[in-house]
Amino acid sequence: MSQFVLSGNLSFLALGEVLQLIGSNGGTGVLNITSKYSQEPGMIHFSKGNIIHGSAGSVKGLDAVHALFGWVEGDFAFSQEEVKVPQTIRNSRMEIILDGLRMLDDGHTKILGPVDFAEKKEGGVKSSVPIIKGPLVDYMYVAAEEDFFKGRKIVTENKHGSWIWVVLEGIVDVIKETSEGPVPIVRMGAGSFIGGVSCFLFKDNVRKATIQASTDVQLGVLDSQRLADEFGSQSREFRDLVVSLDKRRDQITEKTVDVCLKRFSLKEFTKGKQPAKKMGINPEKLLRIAKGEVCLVRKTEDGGYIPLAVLGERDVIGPCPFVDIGHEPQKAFVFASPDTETEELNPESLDAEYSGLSSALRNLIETTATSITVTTRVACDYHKNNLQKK
Amino acid sequence: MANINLKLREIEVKIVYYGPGRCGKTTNLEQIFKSFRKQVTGQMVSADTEGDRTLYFDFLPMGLGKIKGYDVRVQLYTVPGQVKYASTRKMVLREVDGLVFVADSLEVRREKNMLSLKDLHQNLKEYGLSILRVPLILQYNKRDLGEQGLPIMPISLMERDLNRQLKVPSFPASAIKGEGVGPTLKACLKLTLQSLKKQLGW
Repeated sequence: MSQFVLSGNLSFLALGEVLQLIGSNGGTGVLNITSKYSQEPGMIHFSKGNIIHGSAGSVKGLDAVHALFGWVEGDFAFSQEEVKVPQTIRNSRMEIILDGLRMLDDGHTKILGPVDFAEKKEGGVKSSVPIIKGPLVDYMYVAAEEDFFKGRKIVTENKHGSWIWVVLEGIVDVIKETSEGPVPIVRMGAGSFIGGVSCFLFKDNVRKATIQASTDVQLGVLDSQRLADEFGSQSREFRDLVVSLDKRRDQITEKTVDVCLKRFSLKEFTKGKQPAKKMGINPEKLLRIAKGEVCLVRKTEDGGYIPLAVLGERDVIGPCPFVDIGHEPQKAFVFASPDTETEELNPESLDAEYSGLSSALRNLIETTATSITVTTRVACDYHKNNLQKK
Repeated sequence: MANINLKLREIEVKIVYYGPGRCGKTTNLEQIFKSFRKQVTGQMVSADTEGDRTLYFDFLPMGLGKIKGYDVRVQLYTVPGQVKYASTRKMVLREVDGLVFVADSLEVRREKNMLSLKDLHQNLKEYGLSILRVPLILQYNKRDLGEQGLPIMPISLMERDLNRQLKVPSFPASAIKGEGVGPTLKACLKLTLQSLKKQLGW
């Protein structure tokens, strides 16, 4: 086995920079790139700093190296070793980097990640509702498989149910039923979960949205007992944080409907609340609410504001230490009621707890976090569309 | 800050040419490539980004001397301005050491110049840099078009438009004829190396 001489995370050092670093040091060896969204690692072979071969799944050569620029989330590791592969690439390093980035920016390269914004034509109408995808499924936790035909309802809003599924194949639609007809929220593809941690916590389990099979789908029923046991053994702080994420997702889904149907009033929403900073609450820290109520407002790209969520006792605000949900402190404003009191949580220990979880539970939480980000984006889009219609 | 390559005992300095589309960034680089051909080690790399080409090459300029025994290698880039080329721009502007802003002298491009400069300011800010602190040179390109009877802006007007707050060195140029290209680059290198020495505490 060879030794890794350079390794790290692509979200910190992008592929273009890694290639330059290895290149300017004249490295000879293999750069391995792993993404949880791909079964096989990608590889780029170097000889004296020059890129000579690449592979990404079944794609080989220069096309493979270009495709790897789309792996924006993942890890890289470079090992120094003798390279025996035949040279298939003769382009200069900088040419490969600039071309790779250009193709990514032009949209020619597919981005491997949790969200797929592939636009799908449906009866001539373009629907740009994004598809959430999850990491590869851990079959250890799949207790049974179920098939649903296209159009079947899997979960009905307001009905009771506590099963958690993972999508194995196909796409499902997440829909909110309203007085003015169904409002599509997001679509979920392979690897994403139906249901959240709250499914194994409370007795009255009311479904917050309808899930319908958009194509023929295959779902895996999760071994909830096992997950519930694991979740129960985590610290109180950790459970509060994750449950709060679940709550946040439900709230945003509600608010998205309000934004879509234009039936919200920001004045009403923030009534009796002050910007958190004014009250000495620093949303750049991870805080658990001990008393009071806070609400979150997001500024949209077109300069408008939309409501996101109302959180109360035991909910957590601030930057989530293990997943980026794209809310406060950068993208959302926090307003708090005058009696709000908070206590600070330790992000490092929560992050460590998260890393120690089984992959199934981790993926479940990740789907929740991704849904928050994506649903927020959908709400912003609805807001934009409404403005344009005016 | 510049990359220091201990193996080759070189300091890699990154200079980026910025400006509105078709203002002559690429022509500048092509002229430099031509006149420094002997010192250019690699080939010129060009990626065809929409509306504008992204160019790159590096060279070891003579006469720059060494800094503490290190040769200075200069990497030159142009950068695509369009919004969608975010990852390209991010890679190019990351750790930029010096900038040349190429402005178009044509009267009809007046607004384009100002918008592009504003863009640069915004982009730099995103990468944690301030336009007021990064070594920057302005170039008023396409002066030759005046001789052909096309309406161009007087230098004083361009100074007022673009350089009122920045107060950086500026040069008239006609990149297509090769005029003003050398002085622009030289001035930028000078500023860049000065700022680099300061940063390194040398």
